Amino acid sequence: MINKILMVDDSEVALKILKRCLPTDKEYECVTASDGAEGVEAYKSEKPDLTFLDLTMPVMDGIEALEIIMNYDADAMVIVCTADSQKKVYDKVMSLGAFMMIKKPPSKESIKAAMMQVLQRLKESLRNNESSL
Amino acid sequence: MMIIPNSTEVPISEDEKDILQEVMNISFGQVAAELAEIIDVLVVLSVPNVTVVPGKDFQNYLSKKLKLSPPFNVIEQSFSGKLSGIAFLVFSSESGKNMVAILDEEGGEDGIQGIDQLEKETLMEIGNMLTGACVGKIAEQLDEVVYYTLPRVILNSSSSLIDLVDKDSVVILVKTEFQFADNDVSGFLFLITNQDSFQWLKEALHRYIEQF
Repeated sequence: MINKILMVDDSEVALKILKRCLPTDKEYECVTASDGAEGVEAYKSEKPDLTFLDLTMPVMDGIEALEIIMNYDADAMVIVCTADSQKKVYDKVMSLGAFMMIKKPPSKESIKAAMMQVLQRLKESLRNNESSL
Repeated sequence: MMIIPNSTEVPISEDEKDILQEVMNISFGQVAAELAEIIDVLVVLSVPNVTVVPGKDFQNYLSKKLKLSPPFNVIEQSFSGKLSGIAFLVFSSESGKNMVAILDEEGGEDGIQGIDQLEKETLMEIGNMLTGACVGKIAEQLDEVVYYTLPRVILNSSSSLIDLVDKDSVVILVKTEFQFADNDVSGFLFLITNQDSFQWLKEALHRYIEQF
C-alpha cells in the first residue's frame, strides 16, 4: 500500500503540480523536501512508501541523493521526476536503483500509471516475502 | 499577492516568478536531452536562476550584480508572437572556445574555416538551441507559438549590451551553467520583452498552473 509519499524538489511550483497530479481516490500523507540533502534526511526519518525525486537541485542533486537513499534502503521505491530525459541520465538513475523515471511536467495520467506500477511491485514483493517465510 | 521588493518597477509576484522558474527549469531539462543527443556527452545544467529587472536598471544589474564585463560572445535572436522580444545569450570568450573544442572533437576544420568562423557557427547552433529551448518551450508549455529571426553572433564584443535594451522594456534574466563532459561552460540568457508581452506571459503562467 502507498500511504506516505516523499516529494523532493527545489521548486515549490513543481511540488504543487506533483501534489495536484496525485490520484484523488484516497488521502496520501505528503512530506516534502527542497533539495537532495533534505530529501535524504526526510527519507531516513519518514520512511515513505514512495519517493518522487527531482534531479536538478541545489545543495545536493538528485543523482547523489538517489545513491544515498538506495544504499540506505535497497527496497526504496524512488520515481525520478525530471525534464532531463537524456539516455545517459536514464541509464544512470536506473543503475542506481530508481524504480522508474517520468518526464516533467507530470500529468495526472503519468502519475497514476506510475503509482499503479509501484503498487504492483509492492504486491509482488509482499507475496515473495510471504512465500519465503 | 506579494511583489518582489528588488524589482518594484516590474510587477511580478513571487508565485509568478516561481512558476516562470519551473517552466524554465523544464525547458532547460528538455534542451539538455536534445543537446546530449547531438554531442553524445552527458550534459549537466544547473538550476536556472530567473530574475526580472526593468530595462532602465539593466546596466546597473549587469555590472554590479552579475559582474559581467567584456569581452564576451553574444548571440542575438529576435522572436515574435504573443511572447515577443529579443533573446541575448551571453558567454565569456573562454566558454565559447571550450564549446568549440567539445563540438569539434575531430578537428581539421580550423585550417579551412578559421577558428573565429567555427566558433561563430558553433555559438550560433548552441545559441539557437538554447534560445529555442527557452523561448520556444516556454511558449509550447504555455500553449503558444513563437517565430524567430536567424541568430546573429557577435564574437568578443566589447560594446555594452545595454545599448540594445529599451529603457521601457522588461528584462527576464536566466542564469544557468552548463557542463559538457568535463568542461564547464557558463552563460547568461536575457529575454528582453515589452510590457504587453510580459503581461501576456504573466497571464499565461497562471493558466499554466491552473491546468494541474
